[in-house]
Amino acid sequence: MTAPFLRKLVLYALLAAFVVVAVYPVLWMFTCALKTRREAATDKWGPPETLNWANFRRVLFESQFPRYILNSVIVTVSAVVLTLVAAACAGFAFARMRFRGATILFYVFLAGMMIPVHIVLIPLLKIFGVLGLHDTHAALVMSYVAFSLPVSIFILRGFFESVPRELEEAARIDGCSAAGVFWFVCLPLARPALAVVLIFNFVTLWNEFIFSLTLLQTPDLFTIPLGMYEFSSQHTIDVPLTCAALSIAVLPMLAVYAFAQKHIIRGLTSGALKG
Amino acid sequence: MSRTFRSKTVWLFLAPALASYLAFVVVPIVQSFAVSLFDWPTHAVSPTRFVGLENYARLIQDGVFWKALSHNVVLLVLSLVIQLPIAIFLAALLSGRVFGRGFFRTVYFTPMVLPTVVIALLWRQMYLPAESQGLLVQLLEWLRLPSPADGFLGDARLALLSVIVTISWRYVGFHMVLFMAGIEGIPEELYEAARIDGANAWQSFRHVTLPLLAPVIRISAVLSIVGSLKYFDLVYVMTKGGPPEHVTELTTTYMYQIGIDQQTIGYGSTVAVAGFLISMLVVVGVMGLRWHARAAVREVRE
Repeated sequence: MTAPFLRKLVLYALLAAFVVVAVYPVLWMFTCALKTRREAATDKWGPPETLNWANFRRVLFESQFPRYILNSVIVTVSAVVLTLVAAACAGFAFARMRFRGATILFYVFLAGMMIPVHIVLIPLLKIFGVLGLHDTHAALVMSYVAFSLPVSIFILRGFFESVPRELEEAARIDGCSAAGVFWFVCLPLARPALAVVLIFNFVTLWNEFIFSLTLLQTPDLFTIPLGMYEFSSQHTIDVPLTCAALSIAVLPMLAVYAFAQKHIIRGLTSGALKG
Repeated sequence: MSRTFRSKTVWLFLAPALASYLAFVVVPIVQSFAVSLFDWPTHAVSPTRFVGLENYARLIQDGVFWKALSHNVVLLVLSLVIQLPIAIFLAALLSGRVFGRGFFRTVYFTPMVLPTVVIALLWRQMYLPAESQGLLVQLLEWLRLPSPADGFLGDARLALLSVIVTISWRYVGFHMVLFMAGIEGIPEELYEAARIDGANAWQSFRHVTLPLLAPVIRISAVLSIVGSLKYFDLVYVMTKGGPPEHVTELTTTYMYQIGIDQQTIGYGSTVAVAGFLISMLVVVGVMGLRWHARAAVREVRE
């Protein structure tokens, strides 16, 4: 055996070992979900003897899970779209307009990226109570938008600043208004930045837990993470059933990840880097 | 030409973001500060009396708070010590011509896209004691190693460490991606030169990769430090700050327990404000480091 060959062998052995560490817990979750309770208790590690879909059926047809999935879609999509609109407008204003207090205002937004959410939880409960939005999706969406804005504005402002001014001037000479420049010139060019913002917010909010835990009380309104938390506390003993629920909870995101991993990795890392 | 926008237009563009941010971020922060100065007992509709800094005096003498804060510090230090070296190691392994590089990157990053609740529940299963057939306890027994009788999370000495291992499992892939990007930015000629000088793989890693990766390492460290101070999800779901005696309590889980679960609003706000101030203090301190890092990046580019 030659030295380079040996080195390759060690390299791939190490990489494979880390694959096992990263994947095994998730794989175990899927296999456990396909086992009966007795099988799961006796043979913890191996694959299931037969594919037993009963647990999945129970989660999908006899629990609130479909409702949780629908709720997650409603809340996440509304929050992501609203954030994108508000952040694009504000990012454009910060990049292209001059007004008094612009810098200070921008830093106020920027500081939002560092704020631990715990500081707002108690007041938010009171505020939404006063607004008559206690225990509603609207309250959750509004909190999500407010907390997604800082990173989103920051990324989009950076992008709008890089759009050549000549393009804008040309549009202005052709009689475009500010809104026209924004809509017809800058937004179409900003598609890559908009995609980063969209992906970052979508993944973050789809998985979000603490706001939903605090703001939602009615099980009918629960999002997937909160519903999962609730579900597991009701079925602590039935491990395969819990695993089936966990599998269903991660499948939508994993499927998206499998097809768009490059974009998701880029979206999540550059979103966090800016933040 | 930027001046040609009228101020009415400017505010129209800013209004949606500003309104939402003011109403649900800025105003609540101010309110938290205000409420922390009042006595607002459990289940009271409104604050009962102004007590000034009394809540803060109570906080300073609250052993649980200090314990929680010390756990945040442990989390901060161990996150840096565990996550960054593993992440750099993996990035270095994947930096050469590796077959299936994209595949490994994708797989290692996967825990980042899973909801923290799922990760917490999954690892809670794996940490269970022997009588509940916990996966990791069985593994230790199979290896003939001693294992905790009450499971990893039931053992007061191991609980915090176990939670930190799970947190690290989630974030290593994230830092690895940052380091991979950093290593890609290092000019190939430098490795070429090192090879001509007779450097072996370790030496070129030590003297070329590491120093040139320094700015990225700083950024990673900053993200990790800031994250450790506001960490909440995994710990809350896995242990709720227990098992008894607050052995995995963080400032955030403690705040949640007092302010939200027990509805002790005055003192809960005080804990929240303290956590907020500590994070902000560290952020400001660390920002200096970050600007330093930016300068370093510029130096490397030039």
